[in-house]
Amino acid sequence: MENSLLLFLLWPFVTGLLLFLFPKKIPLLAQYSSLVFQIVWVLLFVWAIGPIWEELSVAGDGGGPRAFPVYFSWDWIPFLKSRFSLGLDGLNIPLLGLNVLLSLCLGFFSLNKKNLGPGYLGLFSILNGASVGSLLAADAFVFYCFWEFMLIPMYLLIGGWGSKNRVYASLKFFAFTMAGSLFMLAAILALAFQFDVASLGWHDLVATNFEFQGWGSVQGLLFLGFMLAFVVKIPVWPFHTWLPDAHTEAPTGASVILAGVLLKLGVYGIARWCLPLFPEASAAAAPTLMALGCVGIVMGAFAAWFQTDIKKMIAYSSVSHLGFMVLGLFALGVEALQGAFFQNIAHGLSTGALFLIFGIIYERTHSREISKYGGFAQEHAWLATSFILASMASIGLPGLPGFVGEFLILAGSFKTFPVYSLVALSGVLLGAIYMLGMLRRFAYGPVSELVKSHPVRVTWNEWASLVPLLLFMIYLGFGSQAILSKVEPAATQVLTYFR
Amino acid sequence: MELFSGLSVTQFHVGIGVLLFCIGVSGFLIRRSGLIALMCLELMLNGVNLCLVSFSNLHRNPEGASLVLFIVLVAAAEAAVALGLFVAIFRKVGTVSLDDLRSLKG
Amino acid sequence: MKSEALRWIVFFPLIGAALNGLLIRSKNPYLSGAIGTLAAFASFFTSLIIFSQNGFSTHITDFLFTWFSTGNIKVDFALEVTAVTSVMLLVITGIGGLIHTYAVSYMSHDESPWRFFAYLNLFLAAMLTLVLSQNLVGVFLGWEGVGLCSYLLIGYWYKENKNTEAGMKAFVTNRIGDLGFLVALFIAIRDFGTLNISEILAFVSGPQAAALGSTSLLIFAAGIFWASTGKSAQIPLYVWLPDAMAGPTPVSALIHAATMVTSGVFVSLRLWPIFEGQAQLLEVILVIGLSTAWLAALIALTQRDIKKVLAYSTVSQLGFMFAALGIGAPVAAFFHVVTHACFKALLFLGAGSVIHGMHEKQDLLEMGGLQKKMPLTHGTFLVGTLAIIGFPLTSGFFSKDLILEKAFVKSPVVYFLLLGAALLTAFYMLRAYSLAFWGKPRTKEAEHAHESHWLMTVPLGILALLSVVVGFFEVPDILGGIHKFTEWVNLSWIGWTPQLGGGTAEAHHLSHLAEWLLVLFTTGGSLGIAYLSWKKFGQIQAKSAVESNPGFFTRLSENKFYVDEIYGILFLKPLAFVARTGSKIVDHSLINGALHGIKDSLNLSGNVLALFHTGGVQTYTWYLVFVAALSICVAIFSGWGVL
Repeated sequence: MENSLLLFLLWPFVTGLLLFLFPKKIPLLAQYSSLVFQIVWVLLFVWAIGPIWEELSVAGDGGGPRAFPVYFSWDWIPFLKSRFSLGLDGLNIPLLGLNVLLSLCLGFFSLNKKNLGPGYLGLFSILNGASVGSLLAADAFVFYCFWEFMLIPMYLLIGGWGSKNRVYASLKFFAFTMAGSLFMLAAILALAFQFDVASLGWHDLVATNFEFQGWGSVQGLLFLGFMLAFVVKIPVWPFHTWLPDAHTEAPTGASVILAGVLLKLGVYGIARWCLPLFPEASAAAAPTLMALGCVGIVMGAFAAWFQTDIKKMIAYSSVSHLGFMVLGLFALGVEALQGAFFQNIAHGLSTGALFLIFGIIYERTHSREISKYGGFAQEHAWLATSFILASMASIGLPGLPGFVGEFLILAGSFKTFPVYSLVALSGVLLGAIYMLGMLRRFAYGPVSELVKSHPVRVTWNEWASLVPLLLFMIYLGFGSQAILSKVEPAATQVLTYFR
Repeated sequence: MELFSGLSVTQFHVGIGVLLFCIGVSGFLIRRSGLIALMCLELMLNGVNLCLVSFSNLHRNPEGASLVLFIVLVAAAEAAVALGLFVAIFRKVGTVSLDDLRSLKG
Repeated sequence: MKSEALRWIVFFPLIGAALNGLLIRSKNPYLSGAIGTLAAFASFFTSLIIFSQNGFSTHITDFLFTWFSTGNIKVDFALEVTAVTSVMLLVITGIGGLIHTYAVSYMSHDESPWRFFAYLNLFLAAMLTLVLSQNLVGVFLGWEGVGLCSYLLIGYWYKENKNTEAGMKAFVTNRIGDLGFLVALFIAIRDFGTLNISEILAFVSGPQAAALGSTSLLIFAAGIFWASTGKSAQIPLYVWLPDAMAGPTPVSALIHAATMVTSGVFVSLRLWPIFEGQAQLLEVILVIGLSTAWLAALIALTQRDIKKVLAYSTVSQLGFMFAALGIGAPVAAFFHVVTHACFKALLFLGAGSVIHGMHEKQDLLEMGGLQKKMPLTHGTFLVGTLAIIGFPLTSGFFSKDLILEKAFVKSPVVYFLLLGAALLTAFYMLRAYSLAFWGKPRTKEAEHAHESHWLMTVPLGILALLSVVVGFFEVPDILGGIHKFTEWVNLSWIGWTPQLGGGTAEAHHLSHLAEWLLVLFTTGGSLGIAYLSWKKFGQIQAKSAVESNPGFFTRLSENKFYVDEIYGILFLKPLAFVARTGSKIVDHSLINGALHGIKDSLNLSGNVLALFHTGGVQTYTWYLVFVAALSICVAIFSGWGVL
């Protein structure tokens, strides 16, 4: 168990470094090896998670909640009171699964692409390692290290393999997220040196009671420090403007991982660190953050409505959807929290699929302008159908996973904060407006010059990257309980700190 | 020797060291040639060395003297590297005048 | 009672959709059509078998799996049949099957019939889920599912922007309504603690509901009603339905006349015990139903497109149904749903047959004299027309009479208003009928029109038969008094006894004489108006005869009272403006502006500092020396006690 988990974590780092050594001249060699590494990684995931998958849905003693049914710890940096601790529970396992799935899909996607050589694949693998590491971390400093380390490969991926405006976008991404996480570092260092905590491990931190009397007090400041890192990453309005640029310029694979994993880490971070560690501060900040979530839902949708660039539109739709998750997190009810986590997965799948499909098309047409497209359904019916399916999942059509997430979030927050829930409801309508408006111009109507002159033949490996996502999407639409039941004990655990 | 009769041995040595250092500094500041700047650097180091040795002698503490050994070593290495660099620079740019080597300008 | 067979009612069309849409994808219309039609009829016969084994109105349930469950939200995927449901099931699968059959021939020249039948079957599955689901989230699944299929089918010929725009309009307008449904769901979760319909109804009649206060019940019912105005095309959200005629005609018949648009009535009916207690809401429903019936009928008076006439007629008839709900006569409303499903499907299919015969021409003024060219279509269309205007002993006669009678009991004013709408119906229907089938052919297409394939005329015949027969399930006392339908429907709500509009034994009962007078007055009026209309439009020979110089009202009606334009100015444009400028100003100018401000100020300070950074190693040494000298001075002076 211990070894399998450690191996699962280290594998992408090791293989990533290994991939750097591959010859640049033969990208195929690196691509296929990378695919093999990914497949092995999936197996490692199954090996590590398999034994505890069933017992995840089991509640703790006496029907109560429980934290980290699996927990390991090694000595690391004593003077920082930090131990190298990893933990597994219902909160992170679904996201780990999403991460593994997406990277496997991208492993297929990268095959036979001339420009994606060993450098790209290696960075990718390392990025995976970092994101998995921050998901697994059960120690604040370990979490911070992985969290921060994610930026480097992402920065290089956007800056190195992005499109025209990539330098600006990658710098903006880096500066934004870096600025946010510096506050988290300050908070963590304060925790280590200023307070009488036993260690920076999650268990010790939640056991410590930080005094809360207004935002100038200890808990208030610590909460703000952690929160700043997360709100930038999610991103919560008004910290979102890096996202459209980063998404637009990033290469397809980076877009998928950005939408599918990195943004999710913000949500995860709040649920893992902010809520249990600083319950009073979280409760005090909840109305403000929910309001920001609502503003994000509406403003994101508004912005998405009038985008002329498809990737930018999808990026703004992410801003809107992540507003829902913020709403769900801070409604502080188990339904809404579950909804936020389910929406995490659902949004990762649907937006990941959207970026992937559009990436396949973009590779042929090299245009992101919606106005240049038209009649794509006639050009490639299957791909258009997949695109429509993913869009429908994204706007929360019942029967697809987005609905379950949004429904739980809205219904859950309606119990505690009905006004916010009603404002957020407008996102459901606006989502339909911008998504269908885009679909209408993109997929329907007469065939445009651009589409006519760039025939799209989808290769087998591109299908292989897309189909698992779509299948999972359809499965989770009705099989939602499979994930919800696993998350429930962990979600209840988070909320115990609010009683 | 009349001139220095009022001074102790240490004062004398330290004075020489400071003088060497000052010569080095002013040389470094005034001369344009990179090679002379390098020699001035050596002068400064030796001034420091002299001070170290004499203080070490004064305090009967061998640490200062042993530090000098390190400095000599590093200075030698530094001189070797710097000379090599200057040769390379000269080949590339055609000059070792410090006024012309301003690619670090912000 | 449990029955696993129930799920197959939903599964058959789903399998059909999967076969057509994913696996076979045959361009042969007969193969695709056969799969689709068989799936529809399989559901129909499954329903019949279930009812024959278990009795028509027993309560049957079927649990499939838990969809999602957390906290106190528990949503099962479970099906349930009550009496209302069983009637609706037969309507959907039966009429649906006939329309599928018809569509085989209608779509035989289409380039992708598999797609059409896949969508159509998917629609059936969604509609059946809506009808069968045991809890409201399942209903919502079907509710949105039919919306999706409606969207896909309206925009079926997606090469034309007009069609996909109409599809999008339908979807978005329906979504506006759906927000109400979601609010109702949230209220149910928060206040009733359950989403199961039977449990909600039990809760409402229980003691906790009284403690809860009436507000949540009111909001709940209002939310459902708001959603119904979307799906069932009532004011203010009816605007999508006329545009939805962009879809193929079988779609208009199935989705936009017979089944989907009545789902608002259906859901209100399933939750009737809640609605019944909300007197103010019922008043609102009545007003909205009445005004919709009138507005749509007025617009239908001048429409030239045969499908548009029928579309507005549908809106108007749906207004009748909601008016009946508002009066407090759910059974009458539901009876009208059933009869309307038969005759409106018939009329639409008839119109489709005409359009087919006319080579895709839909303008009434270009038709004329079709009764000789298309005798079967003509005959069945006539039956449909008679049924909708309430010709004695047709189904429309019984259902409309039931509503009017209840309206009269409620208040004569309501009766007269409804009667007015009914008279308008008679006028515009006869106008459409006469323009199409009487007079002389006015274009080349009309002269060369041909009768349709038997696959199209047989369903027409069956529907014509149904349009007559179905009415006899509920016959007023004066004509023999059959109340089978009322008896069935009243069994729908377990543990609830009808108070207002259910049974025959009511507090306000009309005397037989009054009833006779009412029936004669209503029918006489309708037939009189119908005759006038036929006289006026039956003899038109040339296209120009109608086109001369429209008056103010005619122009208003032809332009649909400019409702779309008014909505555009009032809602759409302001919203778009706010969205566009708002997002631009906030994102671009404020946030990005502020960030770039920070970046620029950093740049500027960097540039200033860079002036000191000459790159000359000697400059740096000067700094060093200067600072070292300064430090030494500081040290010395502080030693002297100066500093």
